[in-house]
Amino acid sequence: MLRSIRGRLVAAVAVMAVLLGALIYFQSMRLSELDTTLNDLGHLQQFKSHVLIPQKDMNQFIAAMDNTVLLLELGETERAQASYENSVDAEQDISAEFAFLEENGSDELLALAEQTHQKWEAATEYMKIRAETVAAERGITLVRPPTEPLKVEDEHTAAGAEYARSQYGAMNAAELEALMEDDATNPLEIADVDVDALEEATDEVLAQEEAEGDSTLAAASQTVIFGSAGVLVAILAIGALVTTSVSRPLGQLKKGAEEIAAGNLDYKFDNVPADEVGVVVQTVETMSISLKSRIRTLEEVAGLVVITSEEIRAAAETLQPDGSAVDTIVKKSNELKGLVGQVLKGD
Amino acid sequence: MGALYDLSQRAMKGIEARHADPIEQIRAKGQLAVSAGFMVSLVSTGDQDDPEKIASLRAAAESMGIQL
Repeated sequence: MLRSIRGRLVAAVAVMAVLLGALIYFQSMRLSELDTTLNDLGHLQQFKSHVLIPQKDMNQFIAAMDNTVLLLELGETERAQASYENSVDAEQDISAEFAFLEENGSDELLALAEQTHQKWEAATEYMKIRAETVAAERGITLVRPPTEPLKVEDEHTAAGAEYARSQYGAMNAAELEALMEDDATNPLEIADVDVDALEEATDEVLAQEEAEGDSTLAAASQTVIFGSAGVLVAILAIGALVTTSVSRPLGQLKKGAEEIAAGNLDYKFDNVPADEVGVVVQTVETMSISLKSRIRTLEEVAGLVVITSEEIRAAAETLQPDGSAVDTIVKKSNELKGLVGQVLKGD
Repeated sequence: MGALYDLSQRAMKGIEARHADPIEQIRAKGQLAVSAGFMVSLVSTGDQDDPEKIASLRAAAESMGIQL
């Protein structure tokens, strides 16, 4: 296949197409990796925003519950009940945020999100038990406001509440208040530590993803730059090879044709290629040999005419009245006629 | 290639080598045709090896001082 010019051109185009295809394939792979990384980054940033939101809602919930206890201590029963009910919105919002975190958390963050959720539920229940205990000790009936159906309940909600009831359910108001004096026993602080840990862990994963994104972007850039340069060099090399393989024999053909045109009919072509140019070279050589043969024939005819005419003239000079030289003239004329006849027949 | 063709080519080359002058070369080629009795330059590769032609060509060449 590579012996013909057409075959070489087809092969060159095929190789270039394969190289370009490979370049496009690898670039698309890199871009796909980059797209995945960017998606992960966006997902993580969204996750982090949902980690930050509960803290605001937690503060709102804590403020409402502290206010409830304060109003109970002041004997403001109705306002205390209203404040207790006001805490529900924040509690519902927090549960929705944790539900989002548990649904969208990556493997590294999911367990921590679940643990934080459970501890926060324990702190929530603690705050309710505290308020209800303060009310009970004062003979006030404080009705726990319903959180259904807007609060998202799951196994962590139940586990956290259950834990709080088992730990704080039997304590009096003073004991419950005393828990808040020490960060190690304060349920709110315990939950807050986990919220901070979740935020830090999210930041770490985010940093890792960003580093991975930078690395993928750098790799994609290198693939584009070096891949394109490599393919360009390869295409130039292939183009040069194909051009040389065609132009060199054409140059030899041109030189030989000029030699033959100048009269050198013995010119021989070196290294005749096996392609289309080689066919033309062989045709030119055959033409040269044929031309030389024709020239030899013309020279031979010319020589024949010269020789024969000289012999006829010599015979004519010796022509006698008895016509003795006529036989010679006739013989030579016949010889000339016969040989010229061969030429005409040969044509 | 046949023997007659080969001898014809050698005879022609012998004349071309022997006579540098083109006019002498033409005369010699004519003389060879007259002596051999056929047009030597018209012998082609496909021609049969006629023994009579080979013999007359050898004789004509020898008479002109060309060794085949």
